[in-house]
Amino acid sequence: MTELAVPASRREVPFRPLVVWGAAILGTVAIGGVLLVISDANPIQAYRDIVAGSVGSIDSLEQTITTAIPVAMIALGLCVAFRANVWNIGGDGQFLIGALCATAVALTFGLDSALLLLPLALLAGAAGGAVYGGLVGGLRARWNVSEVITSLLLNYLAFYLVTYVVRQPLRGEGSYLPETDQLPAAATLPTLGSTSIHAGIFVLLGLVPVAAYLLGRTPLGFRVRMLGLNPEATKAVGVPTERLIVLTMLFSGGVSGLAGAVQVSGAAQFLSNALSNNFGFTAIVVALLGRLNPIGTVVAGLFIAALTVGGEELQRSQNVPQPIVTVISASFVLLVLVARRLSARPA
Amino acid sequence: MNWDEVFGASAIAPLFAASIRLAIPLAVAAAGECVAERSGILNLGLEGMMISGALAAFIAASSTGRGTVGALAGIGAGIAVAGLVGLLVIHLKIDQVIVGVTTVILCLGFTAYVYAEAYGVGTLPELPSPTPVDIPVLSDLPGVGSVLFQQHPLVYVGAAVPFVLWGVLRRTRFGLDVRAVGERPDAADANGTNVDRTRWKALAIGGACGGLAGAILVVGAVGTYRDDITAGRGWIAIAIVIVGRWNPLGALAGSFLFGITDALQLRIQAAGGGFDTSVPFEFFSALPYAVTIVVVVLTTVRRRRGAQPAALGVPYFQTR
Repeated sequence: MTELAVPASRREVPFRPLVVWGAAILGTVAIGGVLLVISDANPIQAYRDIVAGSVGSIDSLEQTITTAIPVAMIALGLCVAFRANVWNIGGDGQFLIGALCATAVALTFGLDSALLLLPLALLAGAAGGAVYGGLVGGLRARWNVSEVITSLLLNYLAFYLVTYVVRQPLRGEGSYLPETDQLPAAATLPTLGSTSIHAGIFVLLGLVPVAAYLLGRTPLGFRVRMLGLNPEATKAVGVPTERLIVLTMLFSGGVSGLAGAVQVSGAAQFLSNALSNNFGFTAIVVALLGRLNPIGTVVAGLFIAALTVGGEELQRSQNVPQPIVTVISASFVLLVLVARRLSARPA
Repeated sequence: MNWDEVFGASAIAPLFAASIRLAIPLAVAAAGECVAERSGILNLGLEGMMISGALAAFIAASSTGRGTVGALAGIGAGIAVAGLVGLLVIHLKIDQVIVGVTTVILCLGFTAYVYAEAYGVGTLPELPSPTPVDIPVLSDLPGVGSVLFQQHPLVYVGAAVPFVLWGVLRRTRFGLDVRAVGERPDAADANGTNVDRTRWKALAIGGACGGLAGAILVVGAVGTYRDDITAGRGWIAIAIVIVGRWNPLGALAGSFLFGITDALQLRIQAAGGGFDTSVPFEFFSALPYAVTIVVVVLTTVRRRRGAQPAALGVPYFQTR
C-alpha cells in the first residue's frame, strides 16, 4: 500500500501548540471580522456582543452551559468513535432515538417515584441510541459498509420516525402541534437550585472521567486508539477489530442516545421532532476542536455553546444572521488542522 | 386517498417525468463524484458543493433572469469549494474525511448566512420559470414522448453529464491517468504522471458537477431555494457512487432508483396519502433514504471490494 512512513524525527515549530492555536484564532477572528463587515456590523462591537451575550451575565452563563450539555455529550461519544477512525455522522439520529425511547418509557410506565422512572428513562434512551449506533457499527464491521453513509441516512429515518410518533401514537392532548405531552415529573431532571441549569450537567460531568479513563487507561481504550492509528497492525497482532468497531459504535450511539434522553427530560420536558438543533453536526465540530480527548471536548463544547448563544445576541443586536456562528466554528476547525499541518515537517 | 392519482394511467407519465427531474441532479453529482473518487479523493464535501451551487445558481438566475447563468454560477461555486477541499486534502494532505465533513458544515452555514443576508426580510425573487423544452417529433411519441422529451433544458444538460464522464474515464488519456492514480499512485508517479495535478483536476470535475447538480435542482427541478434544499442529496450521491460501482453510468441507474422513490413519495403525499390512511406520510418521506441504505448495503456486501479504487482516501506524497 502506498502508506507514508512517518519518520521518527520531525522538525516542529517551537511552542507548537501556542503557535497553532494562536494562528487559528487569529485567522478565525479575521474571517469572522470580514463576514461581520459584510453584514454591516461593527466587528469590535460584534465580538463584544458575543461575549456579553454568552458570559456577560448569570442568565447568559446559565444559557451557555445548558446549550453545551447535549452537544458536549454527543461529542464525548464521538471522541471514542473518531479515535478508532469510525466516522459516526449519525449523532443526531441516535440522539433522537434516545429521546424517543426515554419519552416512550416516561409516558408509558406510570411510576411515581423519580428514583425509578428517571433512571429507567435515561437507560432506555442510552440503550436505544446504542442499538441504533450498533447497527451502523455492525454493518461496517461485518461488511465494510461505509459508516459515514449509513449513519447519515439513518439520521433521516430517525427524524421521520420521531415525526410520526409525536404526530400520532404519542401525540399530546393539549396542543395542536405535533408533540407529546409534558413528561411526568418523575421522569424529568430537576434544575439546580435557583439556576436554570438542569441536572443533566451531572450526567455530562460524570461521563467525562469515564470516557477519559476508558480511552486512556484501559486495554480496550488502548486498542481503540491503536485501531485508529494503525488498523493493519491492530489486526496483525490479533485484536478482534470487528468486535472493537461495533463496541465503539455501541458506546458512541449510547452516549448520543443518553444525550437525547437527558435533553428531553431536562431541557425540553416533552418530545417533538425539533428537539435537536443540528446537535449531531455541531458535536462533530466540537469533538474535532477538542482534539478527540474528553476534557478538551467539554471545553470546546462550552466554547461553541458560548459562540452559539452569543450569536443569538448578535443577531438581535446587530442583525447578523445566526449561521455566522457555524461558519466561524467550522473555519476554526479547518484553520487548526492547517496550522497543525504547517507547523511540523518530516525532517 | 385515491391511488389512481398515483398509479392510474394518466398519472404514470407525470410520475416518470418527475422521477427524471429528481434523479438528474443526483446523477450529475454522483457522476462527478465517481471521477473524483476514482482518482483516490474521497470527496465527502459533495453536499457542500451542491448547496453552494444551488444558492449561487438561485442568486444568479433570479437576478439575471437566465437559467444558463445560474448553471454557470453553480458550477463556479462548486469549483470554489473543490478548491478549498483540494488545498487541504491534496496540497496539505490533511485527512479527507475530517475535511469533507467539516466543509459540508461550513458550506451549510455559509449558504444559510448568505441567504439570510441576501433575502432576509421580504419575499424571494422569482426564478425564470422552467419552460419545458419541446423536442419536435420525439415529444409527440405516445407515453414516452411527454416524459422524456419535454423537460427543462438544464435537465438534458445534466442527463448528458454521466455519459460524457463515462467516456472521459474510459476513453481518454486523462481518464486513464485518473484511474491509475486512484489504484496505484506510486506506479503512476513512477510512470511520470503528476499525481497531485491529476487529482486536482478530478476533484475540480467533482466540484463542478456537484455545483451543477445544485443548480439543476434549484433552477430545473424545484424552482426556488430554501435552506437545506439539498436535504442530504449530496450524501445520497456518494452512496449512489458505491451502488454504481464507481461507474458514472451505474450511478445514473442508481439515481433513477432514488428518483423514482422520491417522485413516488411526493406524488403519494400530494394525493392525500399518509394522513388519513393506515400508512403515515412519514413512511413515504423516509422511504427514499431507507431504500438507499438497503441498496448500499446490498451492493457493498456483494463484491464491492473489487470495484473500489484501491487508493481511495489515502494521501499520496508524490516524488518531486
